[in-house]
Parts: sequence; structure tokens; C-alpha cells
Amino acid sequence: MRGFTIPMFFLLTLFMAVGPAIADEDHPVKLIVHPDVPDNVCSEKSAERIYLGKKMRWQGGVTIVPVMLRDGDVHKVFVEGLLDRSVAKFEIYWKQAVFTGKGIPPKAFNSERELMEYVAITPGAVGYVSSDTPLRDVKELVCK
Amino acid sequence: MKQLLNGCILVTAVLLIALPAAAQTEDLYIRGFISQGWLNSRDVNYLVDDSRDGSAEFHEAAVSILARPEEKLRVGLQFMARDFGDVGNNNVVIDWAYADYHWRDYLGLRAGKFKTLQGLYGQGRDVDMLRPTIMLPQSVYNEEHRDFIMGMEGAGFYGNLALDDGGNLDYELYAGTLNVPDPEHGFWTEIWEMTGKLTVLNPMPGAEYTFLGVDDSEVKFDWMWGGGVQWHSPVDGIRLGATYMQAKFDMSARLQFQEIVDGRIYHLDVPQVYSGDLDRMMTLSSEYVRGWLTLTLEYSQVRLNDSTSEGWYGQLSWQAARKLALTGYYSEYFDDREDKDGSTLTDQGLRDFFGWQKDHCFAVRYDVSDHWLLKFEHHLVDGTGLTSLAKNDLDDPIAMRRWWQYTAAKATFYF
Repeated sequence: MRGFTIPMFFLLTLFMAVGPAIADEDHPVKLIVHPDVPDNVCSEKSAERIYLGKKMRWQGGVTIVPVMLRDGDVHKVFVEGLLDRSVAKFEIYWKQAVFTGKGIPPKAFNSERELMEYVAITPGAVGYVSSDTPLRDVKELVCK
Repeated sequence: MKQLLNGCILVTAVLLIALPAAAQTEDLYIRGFISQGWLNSRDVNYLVDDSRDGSAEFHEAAVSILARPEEKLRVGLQFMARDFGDVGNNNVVIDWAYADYHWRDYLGLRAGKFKTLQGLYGQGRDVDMLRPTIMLPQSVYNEEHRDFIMGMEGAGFYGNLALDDGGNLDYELYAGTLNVPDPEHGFWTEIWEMTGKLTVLNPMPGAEYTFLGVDDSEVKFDWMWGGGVQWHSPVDGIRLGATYMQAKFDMSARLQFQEIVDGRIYHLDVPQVYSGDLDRMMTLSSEYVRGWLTLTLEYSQVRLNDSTSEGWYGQLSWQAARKLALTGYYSEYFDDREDKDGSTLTDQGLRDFFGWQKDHCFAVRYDVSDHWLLKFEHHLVDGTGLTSLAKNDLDDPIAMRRWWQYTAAKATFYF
């Protein structure tokens, strides 16, 4: 049985290496922040650390308040494209944090409009919307 | 039933207190889950007594409450009830309760009762929804060692270091002590039960013994400390980790025997003491996530007094559809890393396959909705190295078969 198991793992690992990635590059999203946030650009890795609760401060020390959409295509594209993980893995990450006491997930909104209104009035807030959504009372954080 | 009722009352009371507060502040966060499983083994009783007959004593429920009263301060606690064979019996305990001051990205402090680290999945081992399988690979996440890694009392610090082009690194260190919630059941008494059963197998000349049971089992930890690092590499989907723990504890109990010598019956009450020196509980971990596939490899080594066990597993999980995950793992455990073929056991009159356990698992997870899921898995096992002799009759030839199987099913509901 062992003689079968170990080659099977190597074959499946090879399959993973050539398998499809899940990011959807055709439907990009853009990050938005409260207008007083001093940062204008951030790296994808910084965005990932923010949404995993590991990066807590903007330049100048203002506390980062990440918010997200509850579900939908924009949320899926953001999580899979920018955070490089499936929505299921992202949810499991935060469930583990909650059930071990190690974190509280970002506040979630049902619509881009609600999310943008919250970002506009909350110092330090960061969120995301579809790239074709017009911005109001927030500024774009360019993600490189 | 009484414990279950007490648990329900406690959880309800907590919710009644907490929910109005939740309406007052968006920073109060309440979540919970209930899991109910079923375990059925063929030939060998495994993990719970009488699993050969099928057992539904496989239940967990918890409510977590988290709040952020200040910008950098988080406090929280979790009430948990668990029933796993004769362990837990649905008594509600405070699973964790601590304050966490996150001063900087690279430094946070914790104090209270919190979960220690083991591998990638040790902290969440009681939370069924966090993993694709019901049973974590026992070669690394040995259920018998569960109490070592759950809910120590003390303090620790942690942080995340950004390494620019080198990814980022999580670290954590902690020290304190462990208050064993139920020393009368599970791992802590099974050690004594195995001692009693092996004593009966090797009686004094001319005497015949019957082992009657264990009384007054107690455990006291002097100290424990440990820590871990986890490197999230710049290559998407790759993370590597290592965790380590040391502890010192003392156990005591009284073993009860009936002795027959020359036709006369005596009752023996034998005090026992054991000083445990957990020299290391070490786990090395790697995980690679690409698309819908996750490959995990972990290796673990536990040195307790003069004995070193080791185990490893490889697991591949495929998210076949949004709601469906298929997972397989192969797991190997050796009770004594210096005696992988069990020859020392054979010299003691025991079977060689008591020294290893090799588990082939296939598991299906189906997420019915965002609030409940179902799992089913089957295991084909070679050896009984992780199987408690206390749960099996050493004179039963069926229970001592080298190849055996078990099946588990579980439903989890959460909010």
C-alpha cells in the first residue's frame, strides 16, 4: 500500500504545479481608503497582511480598519486575485482566529455603497470596490 | 444529561448577557458551533470505548465572545462542552480566556488562558469546520496528547515580521502552566490502566491478579513553555512552520487489584507516582496551496522521559466544487523511533505491530450552506501504535489484529 501512496502524492503535486490558478484577472477591483490616510500606494503583500490582521498601522501610526464585502463576484475577485487564496480558505483563516481568540475578522457589508459610505466616515478605513465603480468621498489606494 | 443541561443553561445565559451588548457596540463579536459525530471501528476499539459497536459520544459545542474595548486591546473567552468517549462528558469549561495587547505589528502580548501551538492545525483541532477531514492525522495530532496543547495558563508574546522580498514571518513564545481539566479520564488514567493490565499479564510466581481499576488520578504541571514560527514565503501558497514545547508534570493514582494466592483472595491498593518530563514536542510543517489543491506535509517528534515517538503524514485536499472537498492522507507513527519494527515489544511478549500505526484515510466534506456541513471518512490502518491498550482486551485475538478499519461521520452547525 505504501508503494502506491507515495508515488500518488508526487503525481498529484505535479498536477498542482501545472493546474490552473483561480485568480480572475478580467474583473479587477480597486482598493479605497479614507481620504486622510497618508498612504497612496501599497504592495499586494501589504494588502494581504492588512486583510489577515497582521499589519495594523498606516504610515504615521493611524490604525488600519479593513472592511470587506460579505460575498459576491467583487469579493471573490479580491480574495482570489489580491490575497491569493480561495474564499473558503480566507473564511477558514478568520474562523480559526475567532475560535482561538486570535483575531476579529474585518467588518463585512452587503453592498459596495454601504462599504464606501463606511470608509468615507471612518479614519484609517480601507476597503475595495469594482474598478468601474465611481468613487465618492474616498480615495483610491493604488495596489502594485 | 445533567451536564448537558448545565451547559445549555450556561451558554444561554452567556448569550442573554452578551447579545444586548452586541447591539451596543460593533466591536463585540459572538460566534459558536455545534458538532455531532459518529465513530465506528472494526476489530479494534479506537479513541472511544466500545467504538466497535459504533459510538455517538463524539460531540463538541462552543460559544466564543470577543471584544475590542480599546484600539490595541482585545479580550475574549470561549465556553466549550465536549464529549469524546469517557472524556469531557459535556461538562462546560472555559476553553480559553485572555487579554491581547497588540502594541505593534511585530509585538503583541497575551495573558490568561490561551491555546498553545502544535503544527499548522493544532490550535483549531476542536473546531471541525476548519479542516477537510474529521480526524486530523493522528501520527502528528495524537488525540492522547490533546491536553498538552489546549488551554495553558500564563503569558506570551507574538508578532509578524515583514521581510520585504522574503515574505513575512509569524512568531509566538509563551510560558506558564497547565491545569488539566479532567485527570480522572482519558490519557491521564489510561496510562495507569495500561500499567494495571500489563501487571496482570506478568504476575508474581504463584499469584493470580485481576485489575479492578484506577482511583484518585491526579496531575500537576510544574511549568510548560513553547513557541513557534511560521514563514509565509514570497512564493504564493507556500508556508513553512515549526513548533516546540517543553513541560514538567507529576502524576499520581492508586491501582486496585484482586490477588489470589493459594486460593485466598486479597485486595491490593497500590499507590503509583510518575514524574513526566516532556523534553520536547516538536512539529515541522509545510503547506503548498495552488488553486483548488492543498498539499500538506508535517513531521512530529515527542520525547517523554526516555522514550521518543515520531510520526509524519502527507495530505492532499482537492476543493472539487464550491461545496465539495475530497481529501486523502497517509500517516505513519512509531511509538519508539529506535524500534520501528517492534522487536522490543516482541521481547516483552507483546505483538510487534503495537509499535506502529499507518493510516490511509479518504475523506469527503460537503458544505451544505454557509452555516452547516457534513463529513464522512474511512480509514484503513496497519498497526495499533496509537490505540490505547486500556480500551482493548489483550486476551481478545480480534482486538489485536494488525490490519483494521474505522469510519467516521460528522455534522457541524455554526454561526
